[in-house]
Amino acid sequence: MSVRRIVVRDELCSGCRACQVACVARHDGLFGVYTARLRILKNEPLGSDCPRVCRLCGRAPCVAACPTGALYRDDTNSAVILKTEDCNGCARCLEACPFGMIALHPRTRLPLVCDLCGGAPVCVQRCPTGAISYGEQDRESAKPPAMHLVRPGPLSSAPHLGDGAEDIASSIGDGDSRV
Amino acid sequence: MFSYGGLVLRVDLTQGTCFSHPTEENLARSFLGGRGLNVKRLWDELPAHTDALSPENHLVFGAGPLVGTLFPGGARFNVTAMSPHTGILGDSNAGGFFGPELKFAGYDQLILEGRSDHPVYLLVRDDQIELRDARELRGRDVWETTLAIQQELGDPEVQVAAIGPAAENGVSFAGIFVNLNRALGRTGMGTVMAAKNLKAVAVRGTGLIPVADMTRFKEIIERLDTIIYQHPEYELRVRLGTTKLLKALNDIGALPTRHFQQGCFEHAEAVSGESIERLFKIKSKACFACTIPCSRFLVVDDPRFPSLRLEGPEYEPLAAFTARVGNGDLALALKCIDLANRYGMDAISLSEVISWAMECHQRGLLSSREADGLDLTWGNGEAILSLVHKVAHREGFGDVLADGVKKAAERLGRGSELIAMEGKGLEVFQADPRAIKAYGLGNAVASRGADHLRSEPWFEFSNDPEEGIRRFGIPETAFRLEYKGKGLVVKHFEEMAAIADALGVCKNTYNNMEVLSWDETADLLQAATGWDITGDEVQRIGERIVNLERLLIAREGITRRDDTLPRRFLQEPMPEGSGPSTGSVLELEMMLDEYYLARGWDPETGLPTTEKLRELGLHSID
Repeated sequence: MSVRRIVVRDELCSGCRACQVACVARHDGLFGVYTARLRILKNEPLGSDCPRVCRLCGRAPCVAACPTGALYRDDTNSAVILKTEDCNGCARCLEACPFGMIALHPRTRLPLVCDLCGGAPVCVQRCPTGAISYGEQDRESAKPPAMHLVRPGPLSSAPHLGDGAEDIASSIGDGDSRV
Repeated sequence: MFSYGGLVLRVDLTQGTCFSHPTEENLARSFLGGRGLNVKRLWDELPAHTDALSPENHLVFGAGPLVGTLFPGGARFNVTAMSPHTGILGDSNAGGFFGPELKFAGYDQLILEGRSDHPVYLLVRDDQIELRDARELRGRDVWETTLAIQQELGDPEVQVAAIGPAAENGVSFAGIFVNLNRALGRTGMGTVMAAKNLKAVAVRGTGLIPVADMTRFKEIIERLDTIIYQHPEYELRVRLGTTKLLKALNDIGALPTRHFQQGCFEHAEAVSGESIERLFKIKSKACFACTIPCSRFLVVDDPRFPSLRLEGPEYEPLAAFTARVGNGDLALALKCIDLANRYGMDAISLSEVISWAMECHQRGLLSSREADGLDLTWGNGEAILSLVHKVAHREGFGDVLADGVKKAAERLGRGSELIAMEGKGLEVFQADPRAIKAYGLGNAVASRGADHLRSEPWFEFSNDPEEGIRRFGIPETAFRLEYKGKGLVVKHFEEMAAIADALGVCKNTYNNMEVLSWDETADLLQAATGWDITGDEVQRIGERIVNLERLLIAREGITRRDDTLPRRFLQEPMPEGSGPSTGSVLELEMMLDEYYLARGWDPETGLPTTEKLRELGLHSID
């Protein structure tokens, strides 16, 4: 059984960052984007906006790298969870992530990892265009509202997990071989 | 202070020094922020008749309390200063991502004073403030400047508000641009920035903004999202943004065709928002945290304009380079818009000077020879493109146009003054005020000169007389060609527009889609700031801002006499070919009487009375 992941369709992303604001509001109880657990890579001259999310690697290098056992996988949804009291702030998880998706919180110095909001990610709920969805990797089932995308253009792509993420994620192993 | 950045940053460009102080909560409660707090600074800190291009002018950036929050489109900020274009209040507003970044860096306002002795840009990284050398950037356009700064700093997420060569060349209607394509276009704020030798402001903020009651705030936003997704305009706004107006205004005969000589345009279909969607739209784009992505990214496939890619456009620049100048070539119009953005000019003012020159040519007031040999026939794409370049560089005939239509007409004379389409020195927007009476009144009384965004009284399009009775006690208020009650309509929507600009939210949602009432706005503000505030108080803040702006322009000599529009709108009936608006004129005087009465202003002078100022707590500053 494969893991249910947050799936990205770059060409649908309007670049608004509503997902990031929702993420920070939930996790920090504040407004901002800097501590969001997902990113939007923008190229304004090209008009591209690319959401980047935690890939939920099967044998997650971040979890393997953690010397204190502060990172573990949630049994039900495979999310990487941080036990804050066990974290020593060493940042090895950050170095281990092959996608550069982990940063340290500027105030608490704890790693910012996506916990999938307990199985109902608020970023997905808030996304107005369907650019990120939870577990709908099939193109047919993730059909966008036509109004957001008029035609296949230079920005179109199949739904994916991020730059070459499928290749790397599969080499690391999928969800049925959890750490 | 909840929901605020918390600080005001003051930079003295002459001395190269800066300091910050806390945002004053008493001022925030009276003026909120953004446009409201900005005009308060000008009123308090500048003497009357301050020369807009002198070091003494203050250039104020301000982002209100909802900027950077979950509010859909809480993205907007204002830049305010005395205007070199009109000589009165200068103020302009844009969305995108700059405003939120300013808040995340910790600032509600930047106040820029003095003049640097060489070109610089201001870098704000949280509490690190730096003036950096910008000599290398001189003459570079908005795109080049923005990308060069991001590259120099090695940070593509730094938000840049830049000016282009038009501002540096002293074009009086040059704007400030964010996110490459988003214009703070009106009233020459870019020109003021250039006069300070300030090429750009770059901001990066890593902070987080506390809110008084997050749970309540989220509940309200969830309700708002539902209202927005179920709104009858939602789908059309996402597909076309404001360009939906081109066809709609053509249908009612309100387009500014060939410089307001006709209300319909024979090429409307070809240059409509629908055509842009069909031919060039690649994807939806949005401002910060907005659930209505009404902006569009376009790839224009036309061999004449290689690699033409841009975001937008809004309706105003679209009509500017199509109907207003008689051009039916959509790709050419988009090229003009892209150039106006890169050079850094207000597309509305630019289209007025070009279309004015074309009408002068049509009427034999201006020869081709006087216009550098250009053939100023309506719709001549070559001439239109050429004038965009010439104005930006103040080259040849472009120099005549570069100070706006009022000064251009004074220079040319020959009666061309009568067809200069401006109010208080600001060029009229892309709709014929004869066909939409409340908009006509709104343009006549607007505090920054003829402009629709000071009121946006869309209610007159509703055609719902019962709603007119419910809201204003007058059924006629619901019909665009009626007069009765329009003074009340404009007063109400001016206050809504002021609140939108002071909160930092978008008028498409707040005003046109009316997603929050006064009471609901107060609820949201209470959740955001913790203030005990009512809907009546919110309305009062809107009224206070409108009144203070009026005091500021009165200080520069503005009275009722100036609350008017060009003779064409007041005296010449709309000609045949203007659809259902054919035969209309704009009868302004009775609407003005009704407006001043509603405002509690002296109908003789058009100025606030002492009683009104006392009521608003503005008497002590009179």
